[in-house]
Amino acid sequence: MVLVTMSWVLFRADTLGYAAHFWGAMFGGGSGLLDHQTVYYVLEYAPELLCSLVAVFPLKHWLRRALERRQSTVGNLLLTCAPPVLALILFALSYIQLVTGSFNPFIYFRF
Amino acid sequence: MRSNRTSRIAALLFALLFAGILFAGLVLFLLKPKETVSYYENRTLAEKPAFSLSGLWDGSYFSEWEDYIGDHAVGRSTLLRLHTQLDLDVWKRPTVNDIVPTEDGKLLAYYPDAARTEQQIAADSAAMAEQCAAVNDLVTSYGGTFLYVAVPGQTSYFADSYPWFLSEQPEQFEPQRTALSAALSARGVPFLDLGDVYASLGHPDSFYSATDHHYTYSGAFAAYQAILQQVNQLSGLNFKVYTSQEMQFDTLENPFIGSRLRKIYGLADSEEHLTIGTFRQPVAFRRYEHGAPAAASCYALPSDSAQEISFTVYMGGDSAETCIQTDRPQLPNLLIFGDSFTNPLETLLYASCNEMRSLDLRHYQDQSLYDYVSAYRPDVVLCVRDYSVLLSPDGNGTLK
Repeated sequence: MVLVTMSWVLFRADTLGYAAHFWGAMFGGGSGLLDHQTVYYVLEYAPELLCSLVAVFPLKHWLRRALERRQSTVGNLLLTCAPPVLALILFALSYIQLVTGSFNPFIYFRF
Repeated sequence: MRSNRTSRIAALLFALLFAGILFAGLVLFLLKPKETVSYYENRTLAEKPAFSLSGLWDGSYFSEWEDYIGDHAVGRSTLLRLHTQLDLDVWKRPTVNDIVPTEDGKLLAYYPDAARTEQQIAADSAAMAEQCAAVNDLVTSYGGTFLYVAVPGQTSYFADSYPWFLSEQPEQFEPQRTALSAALSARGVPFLDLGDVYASLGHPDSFYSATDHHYTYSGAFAAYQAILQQVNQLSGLNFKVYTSQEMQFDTLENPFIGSRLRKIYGLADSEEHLTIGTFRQPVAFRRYEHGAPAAASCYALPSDSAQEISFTVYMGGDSAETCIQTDRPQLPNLLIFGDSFTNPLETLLYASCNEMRSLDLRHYQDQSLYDYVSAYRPDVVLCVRDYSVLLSPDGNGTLK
């Protein structure tokens, strides 16, 4: 995953020199590990970062194993319904994200 | 263990539900009436694309469909408002729709990509100053006076209100202002920085709107006085500079939606109201819009006090060419051009002129400013630009 993240820099960079500079900045070689912009990005994307922190763990796998071990009616119902319900929720969130991505405001009226 | 049959039935039901949602979404999208304007985004919405072979070839046909579907998606306005509300009140993001809600209740701008390199600033300020110098040379060649007026944007004026980790936001315009000031000075172009004027007056909060990117009428009135005083000094003309005692200021009851507040769907508390000024001794005038007679008024006021209003109250908003004639040939003629910061100034300047004209080069396309001035030869030419666009060649930044 680290390699994938690093490789994206190549798509963004116009030159190899810029890419090298960018990689350096990713490891604190720019303005250090913490500057105003870092604080801004952490605060701005705190909800997404928190979700990511949770999502890096195999929660779904752990939960399914626990429910399968329990063999209860509620457990079975959850095992059956939870994946498609979650898929629908993700679908709704994706729709919201796509729609809100079209937000394009102007200070002066744009014809 | 769960039975395979139950799982299969559940999977089938959810597949049907999913397909049903997709189908219902498509039907709703096709059937719902299409709006043409998005009020809070302040723009027209995309129209259904027309097919063309060239559009198909270069891909623009499909991009246009993407814009159209995005702009008219089912529930779009509701979702955008909800998204904004969540960002503001639940996630408490420092910027929402590129607006920075500050602790002291202001709504300021976030500019993600406004910073320029030193080389860019040097090149752009030289290019802009060259253009201004050309206009200045033209105006002085027939005995007129040119004055470049730089006005702080709300972002710069309330720089201290930004959270500490966004303090670079307003600072990024400072090198541009300094560079242009030096470049104009080197070329002998008269320059007035209203930031200095406001500082000398104590930098009152009341000079700028907390929820709009413009100054308030108080700030505009102070600007008006400083500009005419400077013009009188430069030109030897004797423009009457009205004092606040000679004015009547009225605060409108209407709810005011500033440009910053509009970007967040009006979802922040605001008690701001617009003020308008009228002369205690009125000056009669005729007004023309792009040559056509228009109502002799400087304000576009709504019919009732409950209607929401914006900065377009002043002069009715941005206009390609406005002309106000007071028929007093003993007084000078003045031309002002720039973005909407000129609008409240115009409600004041005309009273000291025989004729005042205003151009907004974003809309006026008949000829260049240079050619316009060559033909019109006004006694005074004022250029008014805010700090965020001082070096921008767009719109009112292209003079020749």
